[in-house]
Amino acid sequence: MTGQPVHCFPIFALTGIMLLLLGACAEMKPLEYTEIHEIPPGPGLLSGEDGEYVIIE
Amino acid sequence: MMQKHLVLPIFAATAFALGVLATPGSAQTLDELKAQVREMSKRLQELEAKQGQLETLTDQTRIDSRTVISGKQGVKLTVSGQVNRGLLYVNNGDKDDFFHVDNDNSSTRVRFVGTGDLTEDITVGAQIEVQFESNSTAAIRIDQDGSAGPNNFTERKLELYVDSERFGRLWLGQGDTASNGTSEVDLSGTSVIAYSGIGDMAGGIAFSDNNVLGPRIGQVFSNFDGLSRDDRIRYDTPSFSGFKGSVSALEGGAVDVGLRFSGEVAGTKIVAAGAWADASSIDANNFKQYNGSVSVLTPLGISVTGALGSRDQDSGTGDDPFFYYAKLGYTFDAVSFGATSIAIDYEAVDDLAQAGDEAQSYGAFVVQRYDKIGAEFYLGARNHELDRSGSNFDDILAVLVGGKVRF
Repeated sequence: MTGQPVHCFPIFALTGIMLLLLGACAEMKPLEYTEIHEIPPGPGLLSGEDGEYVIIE
Repeated sequence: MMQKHLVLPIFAATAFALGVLATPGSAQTLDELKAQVREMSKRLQELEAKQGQLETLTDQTRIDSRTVISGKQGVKLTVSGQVNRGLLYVNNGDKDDFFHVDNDNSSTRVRFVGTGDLTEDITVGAQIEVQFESNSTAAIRIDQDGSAGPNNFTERKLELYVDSERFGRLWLGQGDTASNGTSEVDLSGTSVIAYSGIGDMAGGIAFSDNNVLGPRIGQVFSNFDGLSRDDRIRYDTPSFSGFKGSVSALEGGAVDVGLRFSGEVAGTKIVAAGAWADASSIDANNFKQYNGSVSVLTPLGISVTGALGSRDQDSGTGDDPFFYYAKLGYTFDAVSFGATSIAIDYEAVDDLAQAGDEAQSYGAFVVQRYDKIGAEFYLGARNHELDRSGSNFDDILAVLVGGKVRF
């Protein structure tokens, strides 16, 4: 792959505008997203349904 | 007490019996009666003792005996973590080997999270998260004799925050910068083994040209994922229609800005992120960069993920480094205990380590979840290519199998 690099900012701006329009025109529901490097919510092997040990409560 | 209402009648009847029968002619019967009364008294005492134990046990079960109780209201401290280990096969065209590795896509770690409610709106939190990667996939060398280091805990997050639903969140300490993760949104379900960060699978392995080692995978591939984790102050806005903005200022003067979106429409999940970062004060190449990613998961289980980024730097190497990434995935319920996800991906990176470099990678992956125990088992293969003027590097093949278990 050679040649002029694609300018990213217009692509991001266009994507952002599309998402705004999509959210405005459609019935957008909130979505809880856990970033891929984070420990996601959910059960654990030893800790059970909560996936964590509660030490102090 | 259970038998209280019976105690008086029992003793009254007993006393009457003793009185009626207390004559010289019935001495033997009197002894028997006395023995019976003693036996009944003993049984009554045992019943009273058991009743007391039952009441005590009921009180104790109202509080989980495994939890330490704080004198303060609305506070909580939790411990969680994960172990992610695998077996990696690598072939660089001249040599090949197997490695027992910690998967750097999602490292072995432990974290402590403490939270406390100040008001109905404001929560204060702190977290310590550290990782321990014995022979990390990102650090191994084809010719190593022992495990690659570091052989100790390394920092991930050492930070505190103040969170308000109305005003957003303020972070302080070592943790995610505003731009971290903005090249890596991924709904394919396969990120435990593959995502836009190509170097996490076998990043320390060097390309070989007739047994002469060249650059490592991690030097020619990058997803320009912002300023990673660092010592910083960061502010996140509240969420507005699924959008959330972030800004951070780092140790050394670097700054970055990020924008994230997550939402669901008609059963289709959409996640996107973009960022701009100025690392000119902390990086030798004085770079600034744009980057972003988007991932869509349809109700049918088909997912499409993309990312790209461009870096403006003063290295004098010619064209600005640039990357783009694409993944096609499919998630389905092959078994009852968790989702199965498969995916193929492709990434191209130009001019990163040296002007004219063209690095490409493609792979195929499968991940099986076991929801009940928080586990993911994975298998994947990735090929890495590097075209560099004046060299003829062989491709590097990496095959990784392993599992991540949350404890």
